Amino acid sequence: MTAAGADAGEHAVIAGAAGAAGAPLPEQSAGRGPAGSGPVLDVRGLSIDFPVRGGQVVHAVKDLSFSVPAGAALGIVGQSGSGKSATALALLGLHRNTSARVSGQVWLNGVDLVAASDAEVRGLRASQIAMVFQDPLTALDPFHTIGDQIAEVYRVHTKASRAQARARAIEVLDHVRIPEAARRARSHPHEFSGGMRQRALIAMALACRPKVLVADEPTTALDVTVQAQILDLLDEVRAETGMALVLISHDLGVVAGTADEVLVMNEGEAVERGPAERVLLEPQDPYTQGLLAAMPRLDAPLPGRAGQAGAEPEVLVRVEDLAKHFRRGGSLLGRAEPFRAVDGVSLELRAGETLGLVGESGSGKTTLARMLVRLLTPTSGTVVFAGNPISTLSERELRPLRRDLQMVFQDPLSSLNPRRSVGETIADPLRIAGTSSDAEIRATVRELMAKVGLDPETYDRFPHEFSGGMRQRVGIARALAPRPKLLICDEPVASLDVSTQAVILELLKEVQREYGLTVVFVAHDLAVVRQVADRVAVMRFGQIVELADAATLFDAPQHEYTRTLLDAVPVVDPVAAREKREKRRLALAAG
Amino acid sequence: MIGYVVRRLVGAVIVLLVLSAVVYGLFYAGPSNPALLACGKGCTPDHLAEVKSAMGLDKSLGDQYLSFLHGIFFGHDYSSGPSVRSCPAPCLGYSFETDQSVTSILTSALPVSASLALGALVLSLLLGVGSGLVTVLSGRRWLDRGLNAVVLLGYSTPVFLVALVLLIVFCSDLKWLPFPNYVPLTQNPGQWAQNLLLPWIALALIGSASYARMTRAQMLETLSEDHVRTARAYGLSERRVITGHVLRGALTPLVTMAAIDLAAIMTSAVLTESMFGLPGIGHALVDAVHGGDLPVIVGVTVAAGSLYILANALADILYAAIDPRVELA
Repeated sequence: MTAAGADAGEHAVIAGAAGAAGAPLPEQSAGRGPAGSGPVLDVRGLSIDFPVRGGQVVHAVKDLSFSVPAGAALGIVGQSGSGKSATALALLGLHRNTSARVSGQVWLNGVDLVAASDAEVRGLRASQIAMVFQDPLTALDPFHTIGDQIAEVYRVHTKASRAQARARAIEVLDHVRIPEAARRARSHPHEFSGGMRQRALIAMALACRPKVLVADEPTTALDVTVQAQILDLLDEVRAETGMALVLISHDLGVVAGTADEVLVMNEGEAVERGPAERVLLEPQDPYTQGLLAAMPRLDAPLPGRAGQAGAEPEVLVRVEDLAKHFRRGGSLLGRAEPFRAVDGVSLELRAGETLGLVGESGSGKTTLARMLVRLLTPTSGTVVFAGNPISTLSERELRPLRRDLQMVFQDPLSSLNPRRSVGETIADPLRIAGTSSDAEIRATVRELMAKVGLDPETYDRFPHEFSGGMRQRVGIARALAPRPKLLICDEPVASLDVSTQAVILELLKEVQREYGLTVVFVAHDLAVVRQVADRVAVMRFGQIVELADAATLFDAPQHEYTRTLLDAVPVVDPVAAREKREKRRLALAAG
Repeated sequence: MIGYVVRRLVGAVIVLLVLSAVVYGLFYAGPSNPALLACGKGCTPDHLAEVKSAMGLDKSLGDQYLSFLHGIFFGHDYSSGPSVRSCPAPCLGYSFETDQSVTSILTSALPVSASLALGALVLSLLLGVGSGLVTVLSGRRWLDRGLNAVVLLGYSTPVFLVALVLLIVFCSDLKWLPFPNYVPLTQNPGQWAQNLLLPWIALALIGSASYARMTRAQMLETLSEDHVRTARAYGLSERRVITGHVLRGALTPLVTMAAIDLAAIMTSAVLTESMFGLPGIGHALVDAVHGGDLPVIVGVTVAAGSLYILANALADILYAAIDPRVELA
């Protein structure tokens, strides 16, 4: 008790000194002292437990300590379940009134957020510490305008009038580069794109000039080019306002260019902590080393491939002028212009190759992939698979070909029937073929399960009993069961942790070799595609803007959009990351 | 917005035309013999033929339907022998039983049903939404469970039982209220409310159950939404979070429910109306069905259909006014 009291006193002194030197007056906050004037945020022995069914407890965070100096940037990195988000919520006292049990201390501005009263904590939120969340699509209230939501926060923490609050909202929206801020402040969240909404949320965070900004996976839901913009923005506002930044991500590349210091978490504990350059370039802890090794990187040497030297490769699929248009809700009269998801794509798939299909959301890559296996019927154009015009065949004529065309989906949970055991799920395509006896099918399934790294004894288990990576193995086994010729993988590793990603990618390569598969690998992540693809097609607005060998595309991209995409990919080397950021800044200034 | 309302109304008219054609066809082309029903007991063949031609039943079904529609918009003249009876628009014909015009039956029954429905709806909403909010916001499990039990009990009790108990307790035993006897609002508002109080309570005890359940479910869902966490993370007090960022989203779906309920109580609260002796639409319809009174059945059905369509359109427009994401296009 006395020790805690002494602690509190000491911290109050530090915070008081910072306050005197810094800014109780809001207008002075810009251009505050450089990093190193004492910690604004000090976390000591933070532990967070979640009671679960049956009286057990999950220790999400165990005895975590770190501090963030004023104006500094700390990156917290960890895979799912590492406790990083639980930590983020604890920094704002957001576990209050939930079942979570928080112990330890979180010192901010002379107040321990763990011990303080609800009212005290509420007063600190937004005014001293603000948070930006992962999913900008749902983080704002759909019923109120962006400007009103920011103004409301400002009014709660200051004595500002309505007009002043509105002016402040427009000011911060302008600060985060929302064009025509005064007009856009009257928009509702649904009228903003994902990137704009995340900007608006950052604006909301800036409104009351907090000393600390916590960003929990702020770019995970965004496209790679938008991600780069948001990270650049966070870096800029930190420099301009002098507030400290706690950037939380599963992606080492995301924190590399922004954080001065990096903390790596695993299973609720800090495994490594230090300056960004040291942790990312010379990691000491085996866990960090493993994480870095598993991460697909643009600067790693291209994996060697058994090229089909000499002979002209056989073409398995020929796509000509393929298009898919979706009708948009027209009125009784006049018809709306259709949405051109895929708009005139021609390409050839060579037998045995892996074609990477990359693009940002809405580029048409998934629509194209689905037309390749006739899950979607094209509006126009043709897909010829091994001599069969599968884009125009009737469902009946198509049926014998279906087994040759298989697909692995992104979300391994929702693409498996939750009420069907995994063994039966894998057996389904075999039963449909109907050629073998029950015992034979069971034997084949067990063999397949072993091949993709699943224990055959788990035949009768259900999908929810498996982890994400294991579920994706089920999806792969199901696709392999009918021994297909063409395998479409639609973002097969997008929802997996990097270490699991690496394993699944390796598995895909292995089965491709063994089964002689032709693979189309759809992904938004260029680094992942670079690891697996022989050739890569870059899509934008429903068209292929560039199609080339992996080596050519990544080392000498021809199209400007490909270059923009590549420049936006986060890299792990902090120095290179800062160089890239500078390059983007110059490009923006020039454009 | 105006364009939407216009389109919505055009759609409503089309639906009503289809509805009226189907209802008209069902009753007039069906096995019932309208002329015989109209002619009444002790009908002679001569008289029957006379009635048939007076009613226009000797014409083709299409012509009959067109003249029915014509009557609604422009009125209708019925000639029986030398005398001509003029039925002004909107004309839905005359009752076989009482010879009253269907329009006048409707205009006398509608205010009764509307009074019953509006009051019952207001009371249902107060009770249902109120208890739904209390269960969620109090955070007390026993209160949640208790109110849930009460609500379920109300939901599963038949209306005639509730009505009987209310009548016995308040009118017969305690004598706090007179036995209900409808008094129009325009005549004496105090008496109007006093006489309708028990039917309102009876309907609200049952109707509020679904509102309570819906409110509870919607509140819990909205409270777990990301933007509510954002509001809390930015230092808004719990009261502000609830009033500013939870209630509107949570209660919006109740608008559609309430609109449909309004139409439903107006047209099908037959049991309640008969238990409390209210001369409403449900009552009129049941009487007409018993007497084989085709013009009244057709008229009431078309009127009820219009009410449903209107209520739905109203709900859609309200929805768009509340939720900025809904575009009226």
